Amino acid sequence: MSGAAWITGVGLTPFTREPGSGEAPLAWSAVRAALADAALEVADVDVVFVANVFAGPGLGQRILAQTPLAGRPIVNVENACASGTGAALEAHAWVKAGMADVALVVGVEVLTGRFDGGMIPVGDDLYVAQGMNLPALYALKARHHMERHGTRPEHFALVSVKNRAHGAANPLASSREPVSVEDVLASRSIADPITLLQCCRNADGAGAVVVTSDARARGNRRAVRLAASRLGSGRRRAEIGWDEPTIGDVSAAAYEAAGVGPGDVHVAEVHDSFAPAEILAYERLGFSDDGAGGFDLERGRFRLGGPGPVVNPSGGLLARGHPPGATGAAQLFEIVTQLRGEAGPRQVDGARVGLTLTLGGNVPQLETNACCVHVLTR
Amino acid sequence: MTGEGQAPAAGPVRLFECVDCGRTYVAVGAVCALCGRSTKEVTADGRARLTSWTTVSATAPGVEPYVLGWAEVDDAGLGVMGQFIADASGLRAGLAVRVIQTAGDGWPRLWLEPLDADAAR
Repeated sequence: MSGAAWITGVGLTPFTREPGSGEAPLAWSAVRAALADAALEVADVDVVFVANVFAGPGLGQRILAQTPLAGRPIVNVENACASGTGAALEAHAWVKAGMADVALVVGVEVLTGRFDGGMIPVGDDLYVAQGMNLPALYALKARHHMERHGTRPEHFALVSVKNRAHGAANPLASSREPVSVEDVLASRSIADPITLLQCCRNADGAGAVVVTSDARARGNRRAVRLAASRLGSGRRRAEIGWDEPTIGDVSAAAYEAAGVGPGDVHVAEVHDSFAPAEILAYERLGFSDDGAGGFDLERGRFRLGGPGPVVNPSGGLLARGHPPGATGAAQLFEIVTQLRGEAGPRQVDGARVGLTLTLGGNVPQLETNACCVHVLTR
Repeated sequence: MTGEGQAPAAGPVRLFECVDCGRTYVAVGAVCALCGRSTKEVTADGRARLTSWTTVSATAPGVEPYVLGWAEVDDAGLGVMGQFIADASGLRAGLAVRVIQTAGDGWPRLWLEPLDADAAR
């Protein structure tokens, strides 16, 4: 193994609805931004990892065929909603192994025209056959937490309130209007206790991340160290129930690899596809004691200006919108921007250690398709 | 597929039990997920305890809202997801329920029913 891996460039398109837009122009826009941010040229790129969920086989080759990146090694990565950070994990591994000096991660998704309502997990599943959809899955997690720990619907609503308030300061977010607890609880029930404003919105968008070796990061004062990159896949829910052990296992491995602990993290972007997921994340990532996540949030933790860590300063999936292939790149974009001190009105003061958590799940029989945790330091 | 108000009859639940380690599975179980050995079919009376539930309001077009529950099958170390043959009023953690299995389209259908109907009121 060689030296460290660094993120030297990030690029992100607005997450919105882009009727008529294809993956290629969105992806190229993000790539150009990321390479410019890294002060690198297309010719410097050794390998490209392209993350996407719904556009079908060979997307990376298809969207890069008409660009100067054609001819580079291209690897397509699909790991449900964790595809983007899964691609970053591959880039990290290639750079650490000395197989590449400059690895480009591209995450892209166009949902417009594919889903009118919620995204649908794979149909051939025991739980889907019982009538489960994705909000119902998170509702079952939420109710379990409520019964076990006394968490209330208001706690879940507070996640939406916080993240929409954060998203209001993010020009790339799709939902920038603040909401109140009353608004969230009064919005249409989807699968109780989850209401409409506790569900992330579908969006189209792309993000790109440049991962480089020590040699290529040297002298770059804006480089952020990719200190740990870890992934796990879950076991069958029938046996493990609702404790979500994989997040704990993967984050523990990531903390160890980075030489930090949960108490050292200043800022985190975590997977809040549905509001209850964020409260579970506080606990499994070690930010809160078991069962205390909702109560810690109620006491003012996790919000900008409050006791840290600040969680989802970008607005998270709930405010930023969720193009699955691009979400991981968006999380890394936000943490890199925060650690560089370039986040403007949503800057977390003194942020030097950041974390991303992405959860991919479209095989509901399993706890998770892929749980990906990155730790970044500066 | 869902929410159409069927009224399945109670009967034994088919489980798959590992011939080696004894771990049991619902519906999927040609290979034991714990030790990789083969499984044999066994039946259980379907007694279970409810641990979570939700009323699914965002349903497919034309499908009425329905209640999904998660129950732990007694003595099997096994969680089961099924649709409730009852509304959600009175449901609580620990409620004794019966798992009912019917044939489905590919996967079996699993249903949950309060064991003592009065207990759910």
